Amino acid sequence: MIYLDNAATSFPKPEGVIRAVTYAQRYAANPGRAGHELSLSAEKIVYYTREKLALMFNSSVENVVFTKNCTESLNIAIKGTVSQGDHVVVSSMEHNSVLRPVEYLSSKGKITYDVARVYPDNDEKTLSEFQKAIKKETSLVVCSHASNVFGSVLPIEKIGRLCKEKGIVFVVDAAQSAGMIEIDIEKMNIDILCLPGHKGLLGPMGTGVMIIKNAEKTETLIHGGTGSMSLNLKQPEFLPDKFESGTLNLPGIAGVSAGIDFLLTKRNSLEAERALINLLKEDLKNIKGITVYDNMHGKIFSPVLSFNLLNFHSEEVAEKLSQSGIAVRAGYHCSRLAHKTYETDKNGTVRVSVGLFNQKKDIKNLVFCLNKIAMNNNM
Amino acid sequence: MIYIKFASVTLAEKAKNLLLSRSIKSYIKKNPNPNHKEGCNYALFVYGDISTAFRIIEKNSVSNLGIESFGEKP
Repeated sequence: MIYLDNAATSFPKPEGVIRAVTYAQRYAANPGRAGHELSLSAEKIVYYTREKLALMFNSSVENVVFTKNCTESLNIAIKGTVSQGDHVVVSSMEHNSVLRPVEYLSSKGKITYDVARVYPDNDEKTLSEFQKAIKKETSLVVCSHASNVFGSVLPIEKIGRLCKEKGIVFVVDAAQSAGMIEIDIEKMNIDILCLPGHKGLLGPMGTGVMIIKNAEKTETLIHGGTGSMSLNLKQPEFLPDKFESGTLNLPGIAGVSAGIDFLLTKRNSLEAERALINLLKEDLKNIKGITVYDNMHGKIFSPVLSFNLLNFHSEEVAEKLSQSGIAVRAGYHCSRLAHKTYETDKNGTVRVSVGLFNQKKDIKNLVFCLNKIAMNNNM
Repeated sequence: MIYIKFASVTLAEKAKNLLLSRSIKSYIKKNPNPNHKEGCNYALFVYGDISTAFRIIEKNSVSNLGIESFGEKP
């Protein structure tokens, strides 16, 4: 099978990740709870994973919070930060992991929100849309770093600067960029960075991370046992315990750690992945009836490409590719607004997302199959 | 026994690694004498001069609950 759905989860996982998960299942107990050797050695796995993530994103080790996925991180960041009457700004490229919590809060009368339109080929215009959307009551801006459908990268450093000037909490959804595109939370003025452990970081599914600069501004959504201050009925206010009630997914965290180690051995991997997407773009030009949604104009992008073929619904094309052993994702990718922005909300798109293990021959095979589908339909 | 007390194991690990970067070895245990208001927390036992270790931890702003002693005198 040719796997081209890495934006959903990276696959296959490096052998080191599988070994780390197995090791943790066999030899580790509950971290941060007891004083015995199995618990303390499990804590070391957790600590060193935090340390790697802190180094990667320029943060402090205690600011790294483990969650079950990026969506959970975003829910904490959004619901935990806003107060009654606040105004929130999101971008027009957001995934439902951002839009649904915001829409929910709005439907309950807690907040109001506006959508800042993104112009993928013009960062200044995008920034100006954010400036226009921000009001006196705006307390939070939430923005994807890279679109999960079109690969476009948003100017988060500029948006972060704008938020800092206005004293607004800035949350970044790095679901499609963490581990691929450099992120420095200090330089980019990010208050809360949300990311999955199983995409660009190559870890197992069911792992997420929230890196939070200031615990005081955000409430936790989950309360419970943390292994600390146990006789106090109040949730600890210090990081990471404030947001980490209940047993951590230790095997998953061990896998993330191994995923990061593997990633660090692969220099220029993003360039290789982008080269495959560029090759695909070129080859798709030769297929009659293909519409490629690409307006990057040489700008930086995450290794994702969306297209449609003739007047097929995107799901139909994906199904035909699946029958030929090629895994892509079609439809609306949980991103209604992004599809509206690109006017693809009728048929969705076929999304190809390449990963570390893809090769040129995978792209050539995909193009061959698409050619076959197009020719059969033209006959 | 004398040790430096931390509210969480993450902070204790951070302090341990900080000290190690200054060639001071230490190890973590659960606090053998938690007070009855707080409950569970962690103790960092230092090989060598605990005052020096404590100063390093304080200087590097690793949040801690101070030096504590319990049981027999060090």
